[in-house]
Amino acid sequence: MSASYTAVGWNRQKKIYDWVIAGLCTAYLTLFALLTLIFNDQVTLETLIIRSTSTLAVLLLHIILAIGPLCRLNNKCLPLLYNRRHLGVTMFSMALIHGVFSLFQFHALGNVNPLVSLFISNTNYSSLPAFPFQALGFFALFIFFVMAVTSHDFWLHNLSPGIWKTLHMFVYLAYFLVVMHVMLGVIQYENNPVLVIMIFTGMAALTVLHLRAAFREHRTDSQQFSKQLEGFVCVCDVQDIENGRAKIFCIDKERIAVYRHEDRMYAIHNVCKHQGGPLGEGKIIDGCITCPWHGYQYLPQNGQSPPPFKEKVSTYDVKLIENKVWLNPIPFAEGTEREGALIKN
Amino acid sequence: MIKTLRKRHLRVWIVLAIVLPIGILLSWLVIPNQAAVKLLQSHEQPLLPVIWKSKDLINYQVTIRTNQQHKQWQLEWVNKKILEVPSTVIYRVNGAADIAKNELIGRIETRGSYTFPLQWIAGKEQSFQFILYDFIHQQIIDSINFQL
Amino acid sequence: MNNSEFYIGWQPQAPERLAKHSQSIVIILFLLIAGVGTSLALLQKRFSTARFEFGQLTEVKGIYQSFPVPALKVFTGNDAFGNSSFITMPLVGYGKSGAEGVIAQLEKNYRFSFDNHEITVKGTLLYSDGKTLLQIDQHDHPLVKVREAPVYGRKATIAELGTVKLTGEVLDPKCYFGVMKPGHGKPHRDCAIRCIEGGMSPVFYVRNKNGEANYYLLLDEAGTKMNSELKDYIAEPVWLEARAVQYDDWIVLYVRRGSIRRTGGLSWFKVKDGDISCGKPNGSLE
Repeated sequence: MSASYTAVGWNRQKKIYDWVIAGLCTAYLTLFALLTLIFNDQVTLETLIIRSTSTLAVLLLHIILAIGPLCRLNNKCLPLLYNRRHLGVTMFSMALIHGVFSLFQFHALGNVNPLVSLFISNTNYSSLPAFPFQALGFFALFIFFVMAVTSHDFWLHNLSPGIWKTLHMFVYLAYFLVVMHVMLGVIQYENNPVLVIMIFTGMAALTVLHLRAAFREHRTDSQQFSKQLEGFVCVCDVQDIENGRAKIFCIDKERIAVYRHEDRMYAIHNVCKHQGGPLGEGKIIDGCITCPWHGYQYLPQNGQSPPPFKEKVSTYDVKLIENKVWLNPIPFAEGTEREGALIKN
Repeated sequence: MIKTLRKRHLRVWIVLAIVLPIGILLSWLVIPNQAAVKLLQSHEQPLLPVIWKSKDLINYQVTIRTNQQHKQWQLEWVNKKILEVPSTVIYRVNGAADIAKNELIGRIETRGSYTFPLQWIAGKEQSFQFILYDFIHQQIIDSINFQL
Repeated sequence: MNNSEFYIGWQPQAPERLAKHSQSIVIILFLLIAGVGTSLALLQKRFSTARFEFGQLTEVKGIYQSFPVPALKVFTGNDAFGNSSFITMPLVGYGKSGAEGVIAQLEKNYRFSFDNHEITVKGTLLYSDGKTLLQIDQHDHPLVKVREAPVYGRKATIAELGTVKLTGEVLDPKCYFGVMKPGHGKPHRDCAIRCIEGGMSPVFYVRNKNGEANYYLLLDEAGTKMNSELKDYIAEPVWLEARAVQYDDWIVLYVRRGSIRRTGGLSWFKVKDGDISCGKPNGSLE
């Protein structure tokens, strides 16, 4: 959370996160290179670079794609989410090294430009075994490139979170392209079934995680509220919500977070202005609703970030009738002050 | 995330859950398998029936063959491993100081079996000492000596 | 996670239980990295022992012959029965190009054809499995010596081997015999296409049931280069029908026009219009 843009807003957690990323990558590359050199010593340096970086990139991509649903299924995993974009940029860097070395290895020093060669060398689009798998890798790398260069909050703010999120959903297309790039490329040569099983296991794990998380979210979104009164909907009992915490309700189209702060109940739009994090899964810290994803903060009574920050979310009316929480799903303009509902002891 | 995005995520993963396994399976099924063929040879010499001496080494099996009358001789060379030198020429040692001046037997290339006729001159003592020589790098690769 | 525990990335310290949980995840990730890295490194196919003597120039003297492919024939002597023995070294150019351009430039400078002339060239050797090639690069000033008059009138020992139907893989010899590992198969397909389109003489790689390999040079029925016709069939198993002729230590396949086709996989349009005339690959020798 910042009022101005810096390349990286370093803090202790980010540094720890990045050291872990560096450690993981170094460990992988060293292990892969050493084992290859010991047990398969005829390898060439270029092939070693191409293979070690590509396999690391694919592994990192799986980890990155698993973080989202893991956090939705278990909020203890949220520290993984905090600096995920650095993991993404690292993955892109590995994929880029793989791509550049492959382009040079397989297309340079020929009779056409290497980038042209990439698209005109193999044109067997009608045959699955002969399919030009390198084009798949190129387009996946292009998506990763766009994601990496737009990963900064500057782009998030300027593109708007909606467009930014939509743009970054292309990572799923990139994942599909990567899987097919591997299957129609190196697996056609390295036809060991264990490799296919590894790819399949990665794909199956990600699919199960994403579908489990999505169906759980779907259940929250499908909640039915029977009691209605003058535009208000009865959502829960007062004691269902812990002090400093919230419950999320999806009435009509959007989710609303109902927070209990000291002796009052407040309701704000559940979606954080930063990256769309679920504010209702956050906590009140220093009097501010704090997003569980990146720690963006909002005041419960008006949905505004404390100065000098300028983010604002919609607020809603809440009232309490006989220990029941009633919520009006019609939003007020972002940042509108609402007094909340007083909890009577 | 807003509800629309959540729905989009769900739909995307339902599609991926169908498309990815099919893609992986099909790609696996189409992995081509190169069929074995009989290798072409211009002249296959029939092997002589009597094995006079044989040596089974790590890289090759070398056999001296002859006929019942010991008047025809043959070198059978089974190259077991892929050669790692540019040229591999077999010479039969005749005492010449210059290796290339020894009796040229022939050349081995890919893995497989090679047969070479050995000259036999009546009344002359046979030498069964061979040198494997890299003609390009001009270095001896190996020497094999069959004791008489 | 209880109510008091809440992770905020910009705070200096994570809650203790969350920090411990994160440590466990990091350990799991390191184990995952180690497991996947070890498996992938060890599951790779063995790389070939092919050599490319990068940066090392070797002088080779031999008879230059432009047919069936530009090559240097190095005389190794006569055997006891009077048979001449040669090592035929196909020539390749720098990068992904054939040697014709370099030879043509040299011939232009000298104003005569080098065919059947003894030449000494320096180049970079590449070899594997008993086959040797020589890369000549004009930047290395490859021509050391040439005899102006042809010194050698002998044609190669030619043996007709008849019509054959074979399954094998079209590959570019420079990568396969030295420069790249792997130098064949799908990952290398684009490179092989680029090399063959660049003028490198295509080689047909076959193997028998024992895994022993043979390598044949490919020309069309008329004995001319067929590099562009091969583009769609490179680096995958293909079937072809050809007349086989042995020239010293290389066999040349004169491929029957339109006879090449893919052999495996669920290719959607496996048989192209031009291939329909060809019979089934039931006539292979084994």
